[in-house]
Amino acid sequence: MDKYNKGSKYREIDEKVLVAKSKKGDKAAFEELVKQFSKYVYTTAFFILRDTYEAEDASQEVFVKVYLSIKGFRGLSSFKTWIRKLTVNTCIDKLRLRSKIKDKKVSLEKITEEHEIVFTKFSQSLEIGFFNKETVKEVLKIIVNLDESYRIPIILRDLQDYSYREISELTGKPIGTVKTNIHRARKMIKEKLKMYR
Amino acid sequence: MNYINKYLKIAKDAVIKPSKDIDKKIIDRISHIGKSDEKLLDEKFIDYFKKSNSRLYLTIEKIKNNPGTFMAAAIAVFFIIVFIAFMIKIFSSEEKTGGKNNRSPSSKDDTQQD
Repeated sequence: MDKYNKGSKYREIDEKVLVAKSKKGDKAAFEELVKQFSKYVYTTAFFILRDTYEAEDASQEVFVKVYLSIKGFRGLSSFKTWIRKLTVNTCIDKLRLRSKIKDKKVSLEKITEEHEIVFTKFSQSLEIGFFNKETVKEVLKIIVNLDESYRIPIILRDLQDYSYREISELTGKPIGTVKTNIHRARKMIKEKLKMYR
Repeated sequence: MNYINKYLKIAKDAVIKPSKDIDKKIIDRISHIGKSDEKLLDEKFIDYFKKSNSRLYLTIEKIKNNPGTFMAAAIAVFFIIVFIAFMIKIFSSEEKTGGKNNRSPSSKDDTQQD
């Protein structure tokens, strides 16, 4: 087992202990869970909603939901999977509500230099150099700037590991359309990346 | 397209650094949970919560998400069972015929000796 896998294994054990303690009402353990997962939840929310304040609001909402229901969490999936799906569901709902209320005329944020992107596992790998980091940042910028019909499926598929079927159910679009949009999104990323290079 | 996949794979571990006090804001919100917050646990959430706590649902989802893998595993199990049944049949019939074959040459030898 290499260093990297050991690290993630320890994190997993740590996570299970914190969840178990939180289920018993240990507030300090829950706060530790917040510290461990807040960045992850916020990032997912920002990628979907493209708005700092809404992303913060969604993150708070997700953790309130988790706090209120953690006692009943059986742990059949990992805590990370559970919170990831909860975040996506919450944000998709917000997105639907926004498109209804604001008529899509919202000034959406882009990832700018102000948005500092950090890599959680990255720093441990020496293979991945500066160039790769910068390219990944550029890829994320391109994704965030994509149209909603391309952005949501590619985020769910490539960043959140959702299946085509799950994306189809979540977005209410046929599987064929989802696959086409993901393929097109990847093509757009490739083309825009060429321009960047 | 391969290098795009490589970057997307790395991007999974990327997070945007939120404002410094997001943890504080969340913890503060949790410390002041009121009855109105319980409204957040709406029907949709309850539905998701029940599903995420159901072993049967999660297994069905796994099968639905990977139908190819499931079919391959089912076919493999089927062929293994057929193979085992076939082998058992061969061994049992060999035992029967083997017993007869062993007896006849020995009886021949007995007549030759005589």
